Amino acid sequence: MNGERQADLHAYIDGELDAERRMAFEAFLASNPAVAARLHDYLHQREILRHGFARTAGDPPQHTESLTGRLYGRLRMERVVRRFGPLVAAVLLLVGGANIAALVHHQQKTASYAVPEFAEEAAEMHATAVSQSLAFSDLSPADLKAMAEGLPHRLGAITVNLPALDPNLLTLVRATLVPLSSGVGLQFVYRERDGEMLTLLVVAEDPIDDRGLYAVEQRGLQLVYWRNGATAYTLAGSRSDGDLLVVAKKMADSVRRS
Amino acid sequence: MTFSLRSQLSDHVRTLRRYAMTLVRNRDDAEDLVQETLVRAIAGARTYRPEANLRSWLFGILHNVHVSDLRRDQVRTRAAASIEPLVRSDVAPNQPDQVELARTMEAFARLPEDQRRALMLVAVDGLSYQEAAGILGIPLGTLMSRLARGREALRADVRGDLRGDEGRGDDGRPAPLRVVK
Repeated sequence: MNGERQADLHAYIDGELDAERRMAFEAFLASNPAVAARLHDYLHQREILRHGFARTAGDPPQHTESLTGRLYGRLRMERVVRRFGPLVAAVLLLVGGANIAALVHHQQKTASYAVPEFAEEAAEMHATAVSQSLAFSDLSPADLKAMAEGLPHRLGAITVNLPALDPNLLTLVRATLVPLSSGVGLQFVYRERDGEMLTLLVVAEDPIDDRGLYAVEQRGLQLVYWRNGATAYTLAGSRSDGDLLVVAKKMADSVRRS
Repeated sequence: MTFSLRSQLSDHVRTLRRYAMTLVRNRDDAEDLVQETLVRAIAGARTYRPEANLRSWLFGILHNVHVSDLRRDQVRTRAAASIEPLVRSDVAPNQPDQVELARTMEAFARLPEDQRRALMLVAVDGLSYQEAAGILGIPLGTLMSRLARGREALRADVRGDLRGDEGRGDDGRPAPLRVVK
């Protein structure tokens, strides 16, 4: 088989031949059983590979699904902004400067009540952590503690204080570095005495002078977040809002004291 | 339109996961690679132009992640320790079809990386030559020759393996010679 015929054989398998060349190649195949046998081998090989990879890859883990969902949300938002952004800008120009100023003020006000991205991500981390509770490592408490103490250095050149907690009330079951939309965060998963799981997500943020504790509901979970200098903390759990606030308050106090 | 975006994205992530396995040959590393790709895609969603090819954009990010120094070193270390045969743990080895499946996947894992990538994109995921060549950053002719060489090497490897078995006993050792009158 010459080079051109060989190229046609592969292009035929991959659907890259136009109708005319496909018919010509089929005529060639009819009179060349050896090439037809090779074609059959390659097609069979392709089926086996597709079957094998379908089995091997399996269903995506929840974290991959969750990231896919978030990417979908971002891309959809970008599409909307690109499609309607210029139109909105034109309308605003027509309506007039005073109204624009009012709108900007309204957006700023709204933004201050919006759930920060790090808190949204904490909700997602918590949902994933709870769903994967069987996959938690069986590291000893001492190993986990050492890991937790070593992790803050991974957030960069900022000082990260971690809450000191009563180990009789909360048991650390996981300490890990996690990828976020922008950068990385530290995820700590605790188990309460009644088996309830809590997730603490610690991220580096621009320093803000804000000592408030904010309680919000996101994805059916309760979240409490607060800031301490250049670090933001979010405690996520499924407990009632008040209970979570109590634990978060103890954590925030501990962080600010240290 | 938005429904179409969602289903497109799911299809592309499935393709990314399979392709990641051809790059790192280890399921956990492949999943890490895809997750890091998605994280970077989320962070860089503003750079995506709707008229551009979404799959090519995602593959571009995946390649960048893969070739980053940190990941390359990690993967090299793990791969040097043990390259996980692709479906060994998933396949019952005692049925003829399963034997062929396992051997094909193992032979695929032994192919040179450039041939594995070409075969994965075109033969397994069904990308056009144009798109696959664009993702791999190679000319069309190079892609076609990698495909041809990969297919033939895989065929020869699997046939050799399967033929090798014809002279073996049930325990996998060579069958004893018999005197033929």
